[in-house]
Amino acid sequence: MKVGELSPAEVRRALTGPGLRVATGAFNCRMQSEVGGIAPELARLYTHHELLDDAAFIDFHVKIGASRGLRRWVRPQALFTVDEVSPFTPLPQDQALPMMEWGLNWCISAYSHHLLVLHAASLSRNGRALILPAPPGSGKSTLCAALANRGWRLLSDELTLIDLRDGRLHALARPVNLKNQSIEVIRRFAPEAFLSTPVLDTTKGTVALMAPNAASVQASAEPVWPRWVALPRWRAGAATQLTPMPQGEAFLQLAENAMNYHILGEQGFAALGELVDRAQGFRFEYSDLDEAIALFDRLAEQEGA
Amino acid sequence: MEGTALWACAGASDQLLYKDVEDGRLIYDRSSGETRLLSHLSQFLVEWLEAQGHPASTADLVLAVHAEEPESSTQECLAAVETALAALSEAHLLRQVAR
Repeated sequence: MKVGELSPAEVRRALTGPGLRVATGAFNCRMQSEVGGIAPELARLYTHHELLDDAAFIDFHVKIGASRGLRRWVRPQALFTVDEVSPFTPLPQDQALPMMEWGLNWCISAYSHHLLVLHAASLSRNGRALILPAPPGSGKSTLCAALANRGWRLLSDELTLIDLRDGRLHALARPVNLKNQSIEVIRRFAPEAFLSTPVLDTTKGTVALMAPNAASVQASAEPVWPRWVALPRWRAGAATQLTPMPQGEAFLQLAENAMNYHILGEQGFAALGELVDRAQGFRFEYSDLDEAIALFDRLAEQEGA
Repeated sequence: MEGTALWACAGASDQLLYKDVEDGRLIYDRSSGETRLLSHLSQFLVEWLEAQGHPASTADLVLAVHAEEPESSTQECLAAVETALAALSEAHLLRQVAR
């Protein structure tokens, strides 16, 4: 059974009660929220995700708590907890929905050292994965959301998970975090995609979440071999340009964008070494999403030929 | 010691892991957790010093590089060698010894 098969009232009851138990690719989560108002949009964002039965192992028990006492009435706040621990300070309650996503990302980054975790978006086409490592502001999430709406399978918009045993990528297929101008860009680019109501004045600016499509969620248990690493950079008016990046340079870029490379030590060195052996590295500059997608489509077609 | 010192290989270290890549050699230092990318020129200098079997001066290394790249000027070779020596020294792959 999928989240989308529950009625809005059932989603709200689960969230505010025993929790919504959801499979999100490599991890199972139990989401609870005392802020019941996030239920309708959370249900839309996770509409294609499978619900888990009570026997399923849960990796992360996460909860958005609501403020108590006077804080209920004056500038109410939301507090994220995982297994009863609060890693963040409370945020205004209207940020509860993005907070759930940021919190889940934090859980994966903090606790998943059986994987190499890169701060990178990743997608796949014809069974081969494209990794987009980049700092905020590079246009990574916009490009990721656009590709995901044009036939590429979304693995993750924020955290790329590399299996230390065989080098394959595991999917999360969770909502895509869009910021500031990207929200309107993707709204125009893919009017059929569901975007949550923008939340203003967060530490990241204005944010909205885009729901992953059904195909990406349904395939989220299938790992994929990495084939390309492209370091994206959006620049107004730039011509679409893909420039080869040598292996060593690609390695250092990936290491810089890895969340747990230093924790993994030798294992991280070996895993990134295998990754640059398997995947071609590029620098990618763009300003036009249609051109960008056409270029990556050609790359995937050439590989498939 | 800077101007008159000789360069010597620091010797094999079981703290270092290597991976050869198309633009040089990646080195992971187990003790510090640092990863570096050394250029092909850096590799050439280490191998040349190992083959010599004794320490050599910066001038000797520049001559060795110039012999391999006669189309480059000695000034260009000197600049490239100095950059490579700094990287090798930082990676603890070479050390300076007194004459």
